Amino acid sequence: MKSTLGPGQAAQEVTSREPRRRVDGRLVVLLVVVALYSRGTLTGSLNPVALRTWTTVFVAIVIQALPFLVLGVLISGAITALVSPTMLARLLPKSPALAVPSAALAGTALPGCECASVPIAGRLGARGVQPAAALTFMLAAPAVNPVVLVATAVAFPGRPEMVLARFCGSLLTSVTVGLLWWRVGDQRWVERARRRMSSAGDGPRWLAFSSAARHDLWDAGGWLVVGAAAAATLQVLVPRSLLLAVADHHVLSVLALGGLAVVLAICSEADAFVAASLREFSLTARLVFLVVGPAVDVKLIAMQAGMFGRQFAARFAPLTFSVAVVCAVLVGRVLL
Amino acid sequence: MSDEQTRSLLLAVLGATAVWLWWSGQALNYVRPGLAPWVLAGGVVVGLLGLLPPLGLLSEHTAAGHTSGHQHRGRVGWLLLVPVLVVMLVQPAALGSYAVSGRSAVPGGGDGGFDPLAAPVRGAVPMSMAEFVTRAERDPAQSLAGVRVRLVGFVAPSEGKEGSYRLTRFVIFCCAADAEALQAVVRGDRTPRARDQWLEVEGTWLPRPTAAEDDPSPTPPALQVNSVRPVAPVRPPYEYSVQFSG
Repeated sequence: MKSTLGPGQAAQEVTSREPRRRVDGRLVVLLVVVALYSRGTLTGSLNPVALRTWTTVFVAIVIQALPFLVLGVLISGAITALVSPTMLARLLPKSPALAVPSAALAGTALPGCECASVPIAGRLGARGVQPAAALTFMLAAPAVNPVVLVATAVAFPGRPEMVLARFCGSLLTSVTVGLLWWRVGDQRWVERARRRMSSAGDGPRWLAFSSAARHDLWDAGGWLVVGAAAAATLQVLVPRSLLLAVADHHVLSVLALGGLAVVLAICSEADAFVAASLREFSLTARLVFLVVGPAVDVKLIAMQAGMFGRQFAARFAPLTFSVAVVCAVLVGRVLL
Repeated sequence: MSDEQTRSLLLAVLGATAVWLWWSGQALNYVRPGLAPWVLAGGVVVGLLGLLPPLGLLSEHTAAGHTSGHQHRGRVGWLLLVPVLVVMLVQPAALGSYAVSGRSAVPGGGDGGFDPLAAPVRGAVPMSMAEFVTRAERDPAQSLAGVRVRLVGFVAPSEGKEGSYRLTRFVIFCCAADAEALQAVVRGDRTPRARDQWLEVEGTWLPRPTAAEDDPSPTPPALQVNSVRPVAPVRPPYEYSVQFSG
Protein backbone atom coordinates (compact mmCIF):
# COMPACT_ATOMS: atom_id res chain seq x y z
CA MET A 1 0.00 0.00 0.00
CA LYS A 2 2.71 2.44 0.91
CA SER A 3 4.49 1.73 -2.32
CA THR A 4 8.17 2.41 -2.00
CA LEU A 5 8.95 0.88 -5.35
CA GLY A 6 11.64 3.06 -6.90
CA PRO A 7 11.40 3.97 -10.57
CA GLY A 8 14.56 2.01 -11.25
CA GLN A 9 13.40 -1.13 -9.57
CA ALA A 10 10.10 -1.19 -11.35
CA ALA A 11 11.64 -0.38 -14.72
CA GLN A 12 13.83 -3.41 -14.36
CA GLU A 13 10.79 -5.50 -13.66
CA VAL A 14 9.14 -4.27 -16.79
CA THR A 15 12.03 -5.03 -19.07
CA SER A 16 13.52 -8.17 -17.64
CA ARG A 17 10.69 -10.57 -16.91
CA GLU A 18 10.12 -12.48 -20.12
CA PRO A 19 8.01 -14.51 -20.22
CA ARG A 20 5.98 -12.66 -17.63
CA ARG A 21 3.88 -14.40 -15.09
CA ARG A 22 0.21 -13.68 -15.31
CA VAL A 23 -1.41 -11.76 -12.52
CA ASP A 24 -4.39 -13.77 -11.40
CA GLY A 25 -7.53 -11.79 -12.00
CA ARG A 26 -9.24 -13.43 -9.06
CA LEU A 27 -6.63 -11.94 -6.74
CA VAL A 28 -7.49 -8.44 -7.93
CA VAL A 29 -11.22 -9.11 -7.54
CA LEU A 30 -10.65 -10.51 -4.06
CA LEU A 31 -8.56 -7.48 -3.01
CA VAL A 32 -11.17 -5.06 -4.27
CA VAL A 33 -14.05 -6.93 -2.62
CA VAL A 34 -12.22 -7.12 0.70
CA ALA A 35 -11.33 -3.43 0.42
CA LEU A 36 -14.94 -2.49 -0.31
CA TYR A 37 -16.15 -4.59 2.61
CA SER A 38 -13.70 -3.00 5.04
CA ARG A 39 -14.15 0.46 3.62
CA GLY A 40 -12.62 3.16 5.79
CA THR A 41 -11.38 0.76 8.46
CA LEU A 42 -7.92 2.28 8.39
CA THR A 43 -9.18 5.86 8.66
CA GLY A 44 -7.61 7.64 11.58
CA SER A 45 -5.59 4.62 12.65
CA LEU A 46 -2.59 5.49 10.51
CA ASN A 47 0.53 6.15 12.51
CA PRO A 48 2.86 7.94 12.40
CA VAL A 49 0.70 10.91 11.46
CA ALA A 50 3.09 11.79 8.64
CA LEU A 51 1.54 8.83 6.88
CA ARG A 52 -1.87 10.52 7.01
CA THR A 53 -0.49 13.53 5.20
CA TRP A 54 1.24 11.15 2.82
CA THR A 55 -1.98 9.36 1.85
CA THR A 56 -3.81 12.65 1.28
CA VAL A 57 -1.04 14.12 -0.87
CA PHE A 58 -0.59 10.86 -2.77
CA VAL A 59 -4.27 10.48 -3.61
CA ALA A 60 -4.47 14.20 -4.41
CA ILE A 61 -1.69 13.99 -7.01
CA VAL A 62 -3.19 10.89 -8.64
CA ILE A 63 -6.76 12.25 -8.69
CA GLN A 64 -5.67 15.65 -9.89
CA ALA A 65 -3.61 14.12 -12.69
CA LEU A 66 -6.29 11.64 -13.80
CA PRO A 67 -8.33 13.98 -16.05
CA PHE A 68 -5.16 15.25 -17.73
CA LEU A 69 -3.82 11.74 -18.16
CA VAL A 70 -7.14 10.72 -19.72
CA LEU A 71 -7.00 13.69 -22.08
CA GLY A 72 -3.48 12.62 -23.02
CA VAL A 73 -4.38 9.00 -23.74
CA LEU A 74 -7.47 10.00 -25.73
CA ILE A 75 -5.31 12.21 -27.93
CA SER A 76 -2.64 9.54 -28.26
CA GLY A 77 -5.35 7.04 -29.20
CA ALA A 78 -6.67 9.47 -31.80
CA ILE A 79 -3.17 9.98 -33.20
CA THR A 80 -2.82 6.23 -33.59
CA ALA A 81 -6.22 5.72 -35.18
CA LEU A 82 -6.48 8.78 -37.39
CA VAL A 83 -3.00 10.04 -38.21
CA SER A 84 -0.93 7.87 -40.48
CA PRO A 85 2.88 8.09 -40.51
CA THR A 86 2.81 9.28 -44.14
CA MET A 87 0.46 12.10 -43.21
CA LEU A 88 2.79 13.22 -40.43
CA ALA A 89 5.79 12.99 -42.71
CA ARG A 90 4.06 15.31 -45.19
CA LEU A 91 3.07 17.77 -42.49
CA LEU A 92 6.35 18.04 -40.63
CA PRO A 93 9.56 19.61 -41.87
CA LYS A 94 12.16 17.01 -42.82
CA SER A 95 15.11 18.60 -41.11
CA PRO A 96 15.19 18.37 -37.30
CA ALA A 97 16.55 21.93 -37.26
CA LEU A 98 13.10 23.03 -38.46
CA ALA A 99 11.00 20.24 -36.97
CA VAL A 100 12.17 20.95 -33.40
CA PRO A 101 11.07 24.61 -33.27
CA SER A 102 7.78 23.74 -35.00
CA ALA A 103 7.15 21.05 -32.40
CA ALA A 104 7.75 23.60 -29.63
CA LEU A 105 5.25 26.00 -31.19
CA ALA A 106 2.76 23.16 -31.68
CA GLY A 107 2.93 22.75 -27.91
CA THR A 108 1.02 26.00 -27.48
CA ALA A 109 -2.10 24.25 -28.76
CA LEU A 110 -2.46 21.51 -26.14
CA PRO A 111 -4.29 22.85 -23.09
CA GLY A 112 -3.14 20.34 -20.52
CA CYS A 113 -0.42 19.68 -18.02
CA GLU A 114 2.62 17.46 -18.13
CA CYS A 115 0.84 14.16 -17.45
CA ALA A 116 -0.93 14.45 -20.79
CA SER A 117 2.12 15.18 -22.87
CA VAL A 118 4.25 12.13 -22.02
CA PRO A 119 2.00 9.50 -23.67
CA ILE A 120 1.35 11.85 -26.60
CA ALA A 121 5.08 12.30 -27.19
CA GLY A 122 5.54 8.53 -27.09
CA ARG A 123 2.80 8.06 -29.69
CA LEU A 124 4.15 10.81 -31.91
CA GLY A 125 7.54 9.08 -31.82
CA ALA A 126 5.85 5.77 -32.62
CA ARG A 127 4.08 7.33 -35.61
CA GLY A 128 7.35 8.46 -37.14
CA VAL A 129 7.88 11.95 -35.76
CA GLN A 130 11.60 12.60 -35.27
CA PRO A 131 12.56 11.74 -31.68
CA ALA A 132 14.04 15.20 -31.04
CA ALA A 133 10.81 16.86 -32.19
CA ALA A 134 8.62 14.53 -30.10
CA LEU A 135 10.73 15.27 -27.01
CA THR A 136 10.58 18.99 -27.68
CA PHE A 137 6.81 18.79 -27.91
CA MET A 138 6.74 16.86 -24.64
CA LEU A 139 8.72 19.62 -22.88
CA ALA A 140 6.96 22.59 -24.47
CA ALA A 141 3.29 21.57 -24.37
CA PRO A 142 2.75 21.66 -20.58
CA ALA A 143 4.56 24.98 -20.18
CA VAL A 144 3.53 27.27 -23.00
CA ASN A 145 -0.16 26.50 -23.55
CA PRO A 146 -2.78 29.24 -23.03
CA VAL A 147 -4.25 27.77 -19.83
CA VAL A 148 -0.88 27.78 -18.08
CA LEU A 149 -0.01 31.27 -19.32
CA VAL A 150 -3.34 32.69 -18.14
CA ALA A 151 -2.84 31.01 -14.75
CA THR A 152 0.58 32.65 -14.55
CA ALA A 153 -0.88 36.05 -15.37
CA VAL A 154 -3.50 35.60 -12.64
CA ALA A 155 -0.89 34.51 -10.10
CA PHE A 156 1.37 37.48 -10.83
CA PRO A 157 -1.03 40.42 -11.10
CA GLY A 158 0.62 43.55 -12.47
CA ARG A 159 3.64 41.63 -13.73
CA PRO A 160 2.93 40.66 -17.35
CA GLU A 161 6.67 40.33 -17.93
CA MET A 162 6.54 37.14 -15.81
CA VAL A 163 4.19 35.53 -18.35
CA LEU A 164 6.46 36.51 -21.23
CA ALA A 165 9.54 35.31 -19.33
CA ARG A 166 7.91 31.96 -18.62
CA PHE A 167 6.86 31.53 -22.25
CA CYS A 168 10.33 32.41 -23.57
CA GLY A 169 12.17 30.40 -20.92
CA SER A 170 10.19 27.22 -21.55
CA LEU A 171 10.24 27.57 -25.33
CA LEU A 172 14.00 28.13 -25.26
CA THR A 173 14.48 25.14 -22.95
CA SER A 174 12.43 22.76 -25.08
CA VAL A 175 14.09 23.81 -28.34
CA THR A 176 17.59 23.65 -26.83
CA VAL A 177 17.02 20.19 -25.36
CA GLY A 178 15.50 18.99 -28.63
CA LEU A 179 18.44 20.24 -30.71
CA LEU A 180 20.99 18.90 -28.21
CA TRP A 181 19.27 15.51 -28.26
CA TRP A 182 19.28 15.54 -32.06
CA ARG A 183 23.03 16.29 -32.19
CA VAL A 184 24.41 14.24 -29.32
CA GLY A 185 21.54 12.16 -27.94
CA ASP A 186 21.05 8.48 -28.47
CA GLN A 187 18.01 7.91 -30.66
CA ARG A 188 17.62 4.32 -29.52
CA TRP A 189 15.59 5.17 -26.46
CA VAL A 190 12.83 6.69 -28.50
CA GLU A 191 13.08 3.76 -30.91
CA ARG A 192 12.26 1.56 -27.94
CA ALA A 193 8.96 3.32 -27.43
CA ARG A 194 8.32 2.99 -31.16
CA ARG A 195 8.92 -0.76 -31.11
CA ARG A 196 6.72 -1.25 -28.09
CA MET A 197 3.86 0.64 -29.63
CA SER A 198 4.19 -0.36 -33.25
CA SER A 199 1.77 -3.26 -33.09
CA ALA A 200 -1.03 -0.99 -31.96
CA GLY A 201 -2.67 0.75 -34.84
CA ASP A 202 -3.55 -2.19 -37.07
CA GLY A 203 -7.09 -3.21 -37.73
CA PRO A 204 -10.28 -1.16 -37.52
CA ARG A 205 -10.02 2.39 -36.26
CA TRP A 206 -12.04 1.93 -33.09
CA LEU A 207 -9.93 -1.06 -32.11
CA ALA A 208 -6.75 0.89 -32.84
CA PHE A 209 -8.03 3.83 -30.81
CA SER A 210 -9.17 1.92 -27.75
CA SER A 211 -6.19 -0.39 -27.75
CA ALA A 212 -3.71 2.52 -27.91
CA ALA A 213 -5.60 4.53 -25.30
CA ARG A 214 -5.81 1.55 -22.94
CA HIS A 215 -2.17 0.73 -23.42
CA ASP A 216 -1.04 4.28 -22.66
CA LEU A 217 -3.40 4.64 -19.73
CA TRP A 218 -2.06 1.42 -18.31
CA ASP A 219 1.62 2.31 -18.64
CA ALA A 220 1.56 6.03 -17.98
CA GLY A 221 -0.98 5.55 -15.18
CA GLY A 222 1.22 2.99 -13.44
CA TRP A 223 4.21 5.31 -13.63
CA LEU A 224 2.09 8.18 -12.46
CA VAL A 225 1.37 6.16 -9.32
CA VAL A 226 5.12 5.61 -8.80
CA GLY A 227 5.80 9.30 -9.33
CA ALA A 228 2.98 10.42 -7.04
CA ALA A 229 4.27 8.13 -4.30
CA ALA A 230 7.78 9.57 -4.69
CA ALA A 231 6.53 13.16 -4.67
CA ALA A 232 4.33 12.57 -1.62
CA THR A 233 7.24 10.95 0.22
CA LEU A 234 9.59 13.84 -0.56
CA GLN A 235 6.95 16.38 0.43
CA VAL A 236 6.53 14.73 3.81
CA LEU A 237 10.24 14.16 4.43
CA VAL A 238 11.85 17.36 3.12
CA PRO A 239 10.83 20.41 5.14
CA ARG A 240 10.38 23.58 3.12
CA SER A 241 12.09 25.62 5.82
CA LEU A 242 15.32 24.04 4.60
CA LEU A 243 14.90 26.00 1.37
CA LEU A 244 14.13 29.33 2.97
CA ALA A 245 17.56 29.30 4.57
CA VAL A 246 19.19 29.86 1.17
CA ALA A 247 16.73 32.43 -0.19
CA ASP A 248 19.23 35.28 -0.01
CA HIS A 249 22.01 33.54 -1.85
CA HIS A 250 21.91 34.11 -5.62
CA VAL A 251 23.21 30.81 -6.96
CA LEU A 252 21.89 28.62 -4.17
CA SER A 253 18.42 30.12 -4.31
CA VAL A 254 18.18 29.38 -8.04
CA LEU A 255 19.28 25.79 -7.52
CA ALA A 256 17.03 25.41 -4.48
CA LEU A 257 13.89 26.46 -6.36
CA GLY A 258 14.90 24.30 -9.32
CA GLY A 259 15.21 21.41 -6.90
CA LEU A 260 11.91 22.29 -5.24
CA ALA A 261 10.16 22.14 -8.62
CA VAL A 262 11.56 18.64 -9.16
CA VAL A 263 10.56 17.47 -5.69
CA LEU A 264 7.08 18.98 -5.44
CA ALA A 265 5.87 17.71 -8.83
CA ILE A 266 3.10 20.29 -8.97
CA CYS A 267 0.80 20.45 -11.97
CA SER A 268 1.95 23.15 -14.39
CA GLU A 269 -1.44 24.82 -14.15
CA ALA A 270 -0.94 25.43 -10.42
CA ASP A 271 2.76 26.06 -10.05
CA ALA A 272 2.53 29.78 -10.81
CA PHE A 273 0.48 30.26 -7.63
CA VAL A 274 3.06 28.45 -5.57
CA ALA A 275 5.81 30.50 -7.20
CA ALA A 276 3.91 33.69 -6.42
CA SER A 277 3.80 32.73 -2.75
CA LEU A 278 7.56 32.14 -2.56
CA ARG A 279 8.05 35.83 -1.92
CA GLU A 280 11.39 35.45 -0.20
CA PHE A 281 13.00 34.49 -3.48
CA SER A 282 14.03 36.70 -6.38
CA LEU A 283 11.84 36.78 -9.49
CA THR A 284 14.57 35.01 -11.45
CA ALA A 285 14.70 32.17 -8.93
CA ARG A 286 10.91 31.87 -9.16
CA LEU A 287 11.14 31.84 -12.94
CA VAL A 288 13.54 28.90 -12.64
CA PHE A 289 10.85 27.15 -10.57
CA LEU A 290 8.29 27.75 -13.34
CA VAL A 291 10.55 26.64 -16.18
CA VAL A 292 11.96 23.53 -14.49
CA GLY A 293 8.64 22.26 -13.06
CA PRO A 294 6.79 21.37 -16.27
CA ALA A 295 9.95 19.94 -17.85
CA VAL A 296 11.36 17.71 -15.14
CA ASP A 297 9.97 16.52 -11.81
CA VAL A 298 9.88 13.20 -9.98
CA LYS A 299 6.49 12.27 -11.40
CA LEU A 300 7.65 13.04 -14.95
CA ILE A 301 10.94 11.19 -14.51
CA ALA A 302 8.97 8.11 -13.50
CA MET A 303 6.59 8.44 -16.46
CA GLN A 304 9.45 9.03 -18.92
CA ALA A 305 11.33 6.04 -17.53
CA GLY A 306 8.22 4.00 -18.26
CA MET A 307 7.74 5.39 -21.75
CA PHE A 308 11.33 5.49 -23.00
CA GLY A 309 13.27 3.36 -20.54
CA ARG A 310 15.29 3.86 -17.41
CA GLN A 311 18.55 4.72 -19.15
CA PHE A 312 16.83 7.38 -21.20
CA ALA A 313 15.41 9.02 -18.08
CA ALA A 314 18.79 8.88 -16.33
CA ARG A 315 20.30 10.98 -19.15
CA PHE A 316 17.34 13.11 -20.14
CA ALA A 317 16.39 14.38 -16.67
CA PRO A 318 19.80 15.91 -15.74
CA LEU A 319 20.17 17.36 -19.24
CA THR A 320 16.73 18.95 -19.11
CA PHE A 321 17.27 20.24 -15.58
CA SER A 322 20.57 21.97 -16.46
CA VAL A 323 19.25 23.45 -19.69
CA ALA A 324 16.08 24.67 -17.98
CA VAL A 325 18.01 26.36 -15.17
CA VAL A 326 20.42 28.07 -17.59
CA CYS A 327 17.65 29.19 -19.97
CA ALA A 328 15.51 30.54 -17.12
CA VAL A 329 18.41 32.50 -15.63
CA LEU A 330 19.30 33.96 -19.04
CA VAL A 331 15.71 34.95 -19.79
CA GLY A 332 15.36 36.32 -16.26
CA ARG A 333 18.46 38.48 -16.80
CA VAL A 334 16.97 40.01 -19.93
CA LEU A 335 13.29 40.34 -19.01
CA LEU A 336 12.92 40.61 -15.23
CA MET B 1 -9.84 -14.75 -16.49
CA SER B 2 -7.26 -13.54 -18.99
CA ASP B 3 -4.75 -10.82 -18.21
CA GLU B 4 -6.58 -8.51 -20.57
CA GLN B 5 -9.85 -9.05 -18.71
CA THR B 6 -8.19 -8.41 -15.37
CA ARG B 7 -6.78 -5.17 -16.74
CA SER B 8 -10.24 -4.21 -17.93
CA LEU B 9 -11.62 -4.95 -14.49
CA LEU B 10 -8.98 -2.81 -12.79
CA LEU B 11 -9.64 0.09 -15.18
CA ALA B 12 -13.38 -0.20 -14.52
CA VAL B 13 -12.78 -0.19 -10.76
CA LEU B 14 -10.42 2.78 -11.05
CA GLY B 15 -13.03 4.67 -13.06
CA ALA B 16 -15.73 3.77 -10.54
CA THR B 17 -13.48 5.00 -7.71
CA ALA B 18 -13.05 8.38 -9.40
CA VAL B 19 -16.80 8.65 -10.00
CA TRP B 20 -17.47 7.74 -6.36
CA LEU B 21 -15.00 10.41 -5.17
CA TRP B 22 -16.98 12.96 -7.17
CA TRP B 23 -20.37 11.63 -6.11
CA SER B 24 -19.56 11.54 -2.38
CA GLY B 25 -17.86 14.92 -2.42
CA GLN B 26 -14.66 13.31 -1.13
CA ALA B 27 -12.90 14.66 -4.20
CA LEU B 28 -12.94 18.06 -2.50
CA ASN B 29 -10.48 16.71 0.06
CA TYR B 30 -7.95 16.47 -2.75
CA VAL B 31 -8.70 18.95 -5.53
CA ARG B 32 -10.31 22.36 -5.96
CA PRO B 33 -14.06 22.32 -6.76
CA GLY B 34 -13.47 23.45 -10.34
CA LEU B 35 -11.57 20.26 -11.03
CA ALA B 36 -14.17 17.89 -9.51
CA PRO B 37 -16.33 17.59 -12.66
CA TRP B 38 -13.19 16.71 -14.58
CA VAL B 39 -12.44 13.97 -12.08
CA LEU B 40 -15.92 12.62 -12.88
CA ALA B 41 -15.31 12.89 -16.63
CA GLY B 42 -11.91 11.22 -16.31
CA GLY B 43 -13.43 8.42 -14.24
CA VAL B 44 -16.19 7.84 -16.78
CA VAL B 45 -13.71 7.60 -19.65
CA VAL B 46 -11.40 5.25 -17.72
CA GLY B 47 -14.41 3.09 -16.81
CA LEU B 48 -15.59 3.01 -20.45
CA LEU B 49 -12.11 2.04 -21.63
CA GLY B 50 -12.33 -0.85 -19.19
CA LEU B 51 -15.87 -1.89 -20.17
CA LEU B 52 -16.44 -1.26 -23.87
CA PRO B 53 -15.77 -3.88 -26.52
CA PRO B 54 -13.65 -4.98 -28.30
CA LEU B 55 -11.15 -5.07 -25.46
CA GLY B 56 -13.23 -4.27 -22.38
CA LEU B 57 -15.15 -6.47 -20.00
CA LEU B 58 -18.34 -6.33 -22.05
CA SER B 59 -16.75 -7.81 -25.17
CA GLU B 60 -17.21 -11.34 -26.45
CA HIS B 61 -14.67 -13.38 -24.56
CA THR B 62 -12.91 -14.40 -27.77
CA ALA B 63 -12.01 -10.80 -28.44
CA ALA B 64 -9.98 -10.62 -25.26
CA GLY B 65 -7.12 -12.38 -26.98
CA HIS B 66 -6.98 -9.84 -29.78
CA THR B 67 -3.89 -7.94 -28.90
CA SER B 68 -2.53 -9.48 -25.74
CA GLY B 69 -0.23 -11.67 -27.78
CA HIS B 70 1.33 -8.81 -29.72
CA GLN B 71 1.57 -5.91 -27.41
CA HIS B 72 4.18 -5.52 -24.77
CA ARG B 73 2.32 -4.68 -21.58
CA GLY B 74 4.19 -3.25 -18.65
CA ARG B 75 3.61 -4.73 -15.23
CA VAL B 76 3.76 -1.27 -13.72
CA GLY B 77 0.11 -0.68 -14.62
CA TRP B 78 -0.93 -3.01 -11.81
CA LEU B 79 0.15 -0.23 -9.45
CA LEU B 80 -3.08 1.55 -10.43
CA LEU B 81 -4.57 -0.74 -7.80
CA VAL B 82 -2.65 1.19 -5.10
CA PRO B 83 -4.60 4.48 -5.21
CA VAL B 84 -7.85 2.49 -5.45
CA LEU B 85 -7.00 0.57 -2.29
CA VAL B 86 -5.77 3.69 -0.47
CA VAL B 87 -8.99 5.52 -1.31
CA MET B 88 -11.16 2.59 -0.20
CA LEU B 89 -9.32 1.57 2.93
CA VAL B 90 -7.90 4.80 4.27
CA GLN B 91 -10.29 7.36 2.78
CA PRO B 92 -7.64 10.03 3.37
CA ALA B 93 -9.09 13.09 5.08
CA ALA B 94 -8.44 16.68 4.09
CA LEU B 95 -5.09 18.01 5.24
CA GLY B 96 -5.11 18.79 8.96
CA SER B 97 -2.91 20.25 11.66
CA TYR B 98 -0.23 17.61 11.19
CA ALA B 99 0.47 18.85 7.68
CA VAL B 100 1.06 22.46 8.70
CA SER B 101 4.76 22.20 9.40
CA GLY B 102 6.76 23.80 6.62
CA ARG B 103 3.67 24.82 4.67
CA SER B 104 2.77 28.08 6.36
CA ALA B 105 2.67 31.06 4.06
CA VAL B 106 1.65 34.66 3.80
CA PRO B 107 -0.23 35.32 0.59
CA GLY B 108 0.97 38.11 -1.61
CA GLY B 109 -1.18 41.20 -1.48
CA GLY B 110 -1.88 43.39 -4.46
CA ASP B 111 0.25 46.49 -4.81
CA GLY B 112 -2.71 48.69 -5.53
CA GLY B 113 -4.19 48.83 -2.02
CA PHE B 114 -7.14 46.97 -0.55
CA ASP B 115 -10.86 47.04 -1.22
CA PRO B 116 -13.09 48.32 1.60
CA LEU B 117 -14.12 45.71 4.19
CA ALA B 118 -17.39 43.84 3.70
CA ALA B 119 -20.38 44.87 5.82
CA PRO B 120 -20.61 43.30 9.29
CA VAL B 121 -23.06 40.40 9.71
CA ARG B 122 -24.44 39.81 13.21
CA GLY B 123 -21.91 42.19 14.71
CA ALA B 124 -18.71 41.01 13.00
CA VAL B 125 -17.17 41.12 9.53
CA PRO B 126 -16.99 37.56 8.13
CA MET B 127 -13.83 36.98 6.16
CA SER B 128 -11.62 34.24 4.82
CA MET B 129 -8.35 33.42 6.53
CA ALA B 130 -6.58 34.55 3.36
CA GLU B 131 -8.16 37.99 3.59
CA PHE B 132 -7.43 38.29 7.31
CA VAL B 133 -3.78 37.26 7.03
CA THR B 134 -3.14 39.38 3.95
CA ARG B 135 -4.74 42.51 5.38
CA ALA B 136 -2.91 42.00 8.67
CA GLU B 137 0.46 41.48 7.05
CA ARG B 138 0.38 43.62 3.94
CA ASP B 139 -2.05 46.51 4.35
CA PRO B 140 -0.19 49.75 5.13
CA ALA B 141 -3.54 51.43 5.88
CA GLN B 142 -4.25 48.83 8.62
CA SER B 143 -7.85 48.38 7.55
CA LEU B 144 -8.35 45.66 10.17
CA ALA B 145 -7.53 47.85 13.16
CA GLY B 146 -10.38 47.87 15.67
CA VAL B 147 -12.69 45.82 13.44
CA ARG B 148 -14.44 42.81 14.89
CA VAL B 149 -14.00 39.92 12.44
CA ARG B 150 -15.38 36.38 12.22
CA LEU B 151 -13.03 33.61 11.06
CA VAL B 152 -13.44 29.87 10.58
CA GLY B 153 -10.60 27.37 10.79
CA PHE B 154 -9.23 24.42 12.69
CA VAL B 155 -6.92 24.25 15.71
CA ALA B 156 -3.20 23.71 15.20
CA PRO B 157 -0.71 23.87 18.06
CA SER B 158 1.19 27.12 18.50
CA GLU B 159 4.93 27.56 18.49
CA GLY B 160 6.69 28.79 21.61
CA LYS B 161 4.91 31.13 24.01
CA GLU B 162 2.91 33.15 21.53
CA GLY B 163 -0.55 31.98 22.56
CA SER B 164 -2.64 28.94 23.19
CA TYR B 165 -3.13 27.77 19.59
CA ARG B 166 -3.25 28.88 15.97
CA LEU B 167 -6.45 29.04 13.96
CA THR B 168 -5.53 27.45 10.63
CA ARG B 169 -6.91 26.99 7.17
CA PHE B 170 -5.25 25.54 4.09
CA VAL B 171 -5.40 27.32 0.78
CA ILE B 172 -4.97 25.16 -2.32
CA PHE B 173 -4.49 26.18 -5.93
CA CYS B 174 -4.95 22.94 -7.82
CA CYS B 175 -4.71 19.99 -5.44
CA ALA B 176 -3.72 19.20 -1.86
CA ALA B 177 -0.12 18.71 -2.95
CA ASP B 178 0.30 22.46 -3.34
CA ALA B 179 -1.50 23.41 -0.13
CA GLU B 180 -0.24 26.26 2.02
CA ALA B 181 -1.31 27.00 5.58
CA LEU B 182 -2.82 30.33 6.62
CA GLN B 183 -2.67 30.89 10.35
CA ALA B 184 -3.69 33.33 13.05
CA VAL B 185 -2.46 33.16 16.64
CA VAL B 186 -5.49 33.08 18.95
CA ARG B 187 -5.20 35.03 22.22
CA GLY B 188 -7.70 35.10 25.07
CA ASP B 189 -9.35 31.69 24.72
CA ARG B 190 -9.13 29.99 28.13
CA THR B 191 -10.73 26.71 27.07
CA PRO B 192 -8.28 24.03 25.95
CA ARG B 193 -9.06 23.07 22.36
CA ALA B 194 -8.45 19.72 20.74
CA ARG B 195 -6.15 19.56 17.75
CA ASP B 196 -8.02 19.73 14.43
CA GLN B 197 -11.24 20.92 16.10
CA TRP B 198 -13.02 23.37 13.77
CA LEU B 199 -13.90 26.71 15.39
CA GLU B 200 -15.72 29.86 14.48
CA VAL B 201 -14.04 32.73 16.31
CA GLU B 202 -14.89 36.40 16.62
CA GLY B 203 -12.28 38.88 17.70
CA THR B 204 -10.08 41.82 16.88
CA TRP B 205 -6.72 41.91 15.21
CA LEU B 206 -3.76 42.84 17.44
CA PRO B 207 -1.96 45.40 15.27
CA ARG B 208 1.75 45.40 14.69
CA PRO B 209 3.91 46.86 11.95
CA THR B 210 3.43 45.31 8.49
CA ALA B 211 5.82 42.49 7.75
CA ALA B 212 9.00 43.15 5.83
CA GLU B 213 8.82 41.84 2.27
CA ASP B 214 11.79 39.56 2.74
CA ASP B 215 11.08 38.16 6.20
CA PRO B 216 11.29 34.42 5.49
CA SER B 217 8.92 33.23 8.21
CA PRO B 218 7.09 36.02 10.01
CA THR B 219 4.97 35.06 13.01
CA PRO B 220 1.32 34.83 11.94
CA PRO B 221 -0.93 37.77 12.85
CA ALA B 222 -2.61 37.57 16.24
CA LEU B 223 -6.29 37.77 17.12
CA GLN B 224 -7.74 38.79 20.51
CA VAL B 225 -10.92 36.73 20.64
CA ASN B 226 -14.26 37.60 22.21
CA SER B 227 -16.19 34.49 21.36
CA VAL B 228 -15.25 30.99 20.24
CA ARG B 229 -17.75 28.45 18.99
CA PRO B 230 -16.91 24.87 17.94
CA VAL B 231 -18.44 24.07 14.54
CA ALA B 232 -18.67 21.02 12.31
CA PRO B 233 -15.80 20.62 9.82
CA VAL B 234 -16.41 23.03 6.97
CA ARG B 235 -17.10 21.72 3.47
CA PRO B 236 -15.28 22.29 1.22
CA PRO B 237 -12.33 22.09 3.59
CA TYR B 238 -9.96 24.48 1.85
CA GLU B 239 -9.83 28.08 0.73
CA TYR B 240 -9.08 28.42 -2.92
CA SER B 241 -7.72 31.80 -3.79
CA VAL B 242 -5.32 34.26 -2.30
CA GLN B 243 -6.07 36.89 -4.92
CA PHE B 244 -8.90 38.93 -3.52
CA SER B 245 -7.55 42.43 -3.25
CA GLY B 246 -7.38 45.11 -5.91
